[in-house]
Amino acid sequence: MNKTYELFIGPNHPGIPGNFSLKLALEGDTIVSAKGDPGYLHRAFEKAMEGRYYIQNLALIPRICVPEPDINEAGYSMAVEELMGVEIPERAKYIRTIVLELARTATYLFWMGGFAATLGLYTLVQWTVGDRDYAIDLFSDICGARVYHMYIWPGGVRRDLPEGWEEKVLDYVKYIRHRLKDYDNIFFKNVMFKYRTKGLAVVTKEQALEWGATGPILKAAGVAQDVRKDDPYAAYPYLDFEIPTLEDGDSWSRAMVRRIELENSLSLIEQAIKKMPKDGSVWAKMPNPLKWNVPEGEVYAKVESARGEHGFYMVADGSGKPYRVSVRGASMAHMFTIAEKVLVGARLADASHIMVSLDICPPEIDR
Amino acid sequence: MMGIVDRIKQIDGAVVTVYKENRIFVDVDKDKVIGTLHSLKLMGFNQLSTASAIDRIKDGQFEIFYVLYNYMEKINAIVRMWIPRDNPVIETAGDIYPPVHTWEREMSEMFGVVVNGNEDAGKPFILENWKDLPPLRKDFDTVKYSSEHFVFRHSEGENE
Repeated sequence: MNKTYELFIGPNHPGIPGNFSLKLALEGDTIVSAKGDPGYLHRAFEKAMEGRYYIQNLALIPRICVPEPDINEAGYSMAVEELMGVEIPERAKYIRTIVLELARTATYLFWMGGFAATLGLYTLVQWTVGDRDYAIDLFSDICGARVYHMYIWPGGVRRDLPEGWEEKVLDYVKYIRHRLKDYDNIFFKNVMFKYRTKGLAVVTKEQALEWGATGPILKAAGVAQDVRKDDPYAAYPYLDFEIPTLEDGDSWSRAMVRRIELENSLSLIEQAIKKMPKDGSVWAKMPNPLKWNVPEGEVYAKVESARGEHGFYMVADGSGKPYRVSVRGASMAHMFTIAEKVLVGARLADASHIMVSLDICPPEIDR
Repeated sequence: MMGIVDRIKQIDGAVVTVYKENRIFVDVDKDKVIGTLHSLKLMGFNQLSTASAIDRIKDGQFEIFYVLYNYMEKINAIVRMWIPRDNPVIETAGDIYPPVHTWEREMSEMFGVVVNGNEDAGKPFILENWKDLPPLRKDFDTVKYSSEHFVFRHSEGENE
């Protein structure tokens, strides 16, 4: 008798963070093989970008990561600026940092809710998704859009901050810091959280390096690597922060790294607001966007997303449209090199949880 | 002590261009690429961030690139090679950098690059029942494909 059976999870399973599917083979409730099945969300961004002006692509790229769109705007803009040899104004650097860190807090809040939900705790998801909305309101104030902002542009940011926005952001920081105590009490100090996640889906330091892990997976395995420190951009060189690392590389460690990262982001926002020049331009003088003369060349620009290294390999041929844009999302390696391995041996009840623990973002695969 | 860039320059057949403080291009011939990737890994370039292709249709070539990172030296090395467009065959680098396996799979589907040694390259990855040209090739016409495969739907009240 054949004891192995196949099970499909997704593309609409609540434990899968987006339209993505897993093909599992199981014996009892133990996973014996796992294969990622992408393609449900493919909108051909890379191909579409080749047919549009550089400025037009700004409407496309935020969609490459739904929970954290701003990293795409920043990476794309940095690549264009590097090709054009543009240095952005100081105030724009700080605004970018505030926006990127604000987006990171929103992403971690979203993730935190999903993470707890896969363990059966649905209270936290109500809290964190509700609290994330305060960050979204702040984005709405600066650009009118809630999710896809198109606020970070080549040359700087689209427009200056509205009056009183910094104070609102500081209120948000204070509020989330206060709420973190509630999150700790209900979840991070919860014995069930520890019981379910300690020793689960371990990625050791050697494996993390070999398998191309970046971001929280690598940090949870003990490697202090972060693009914000190693290859600083925006205003990160002027700010003081540590890269959190833990040793065990399990689901618990990854959650705790993200928990610490959230606090770090709040501190970075405060520092950036404090140090930001109070006036000055927010956009370097740029030509008419329909007549940008981007010189021929190839560049690789990268930023640190909530999941790891997020890069743009951009090729320009001297025309008004990019010749090729290749997007590197952290989830490509995290899914096919890591998740497919660490899911093996796990129990079915943990499959969704492991996916959220590795924070797989399907649009980074379906580009 | 010899710097990392000088050490890379000593790799057989590698043409090194420093285009920024922490980014270098390493251009190699097709038959030297695996050896170069191997040497770079031994030099501490542990991480492969991405790999893909660029369709240089005017030159009749594909440019294949691998973005590597050395986190001790904090430097990116971008290994590039050109292969003929009419015979796009490369060897897998999966034994050196396991994550490249997926990028090669994508490269094979989107550009039609044949990857020797990668058993998944050539199998459907993102696309399903695709019978046209590989879609990221420059000669793939998206408008023509859409008009052939999809019906244009007029919205209500619009003049046809």
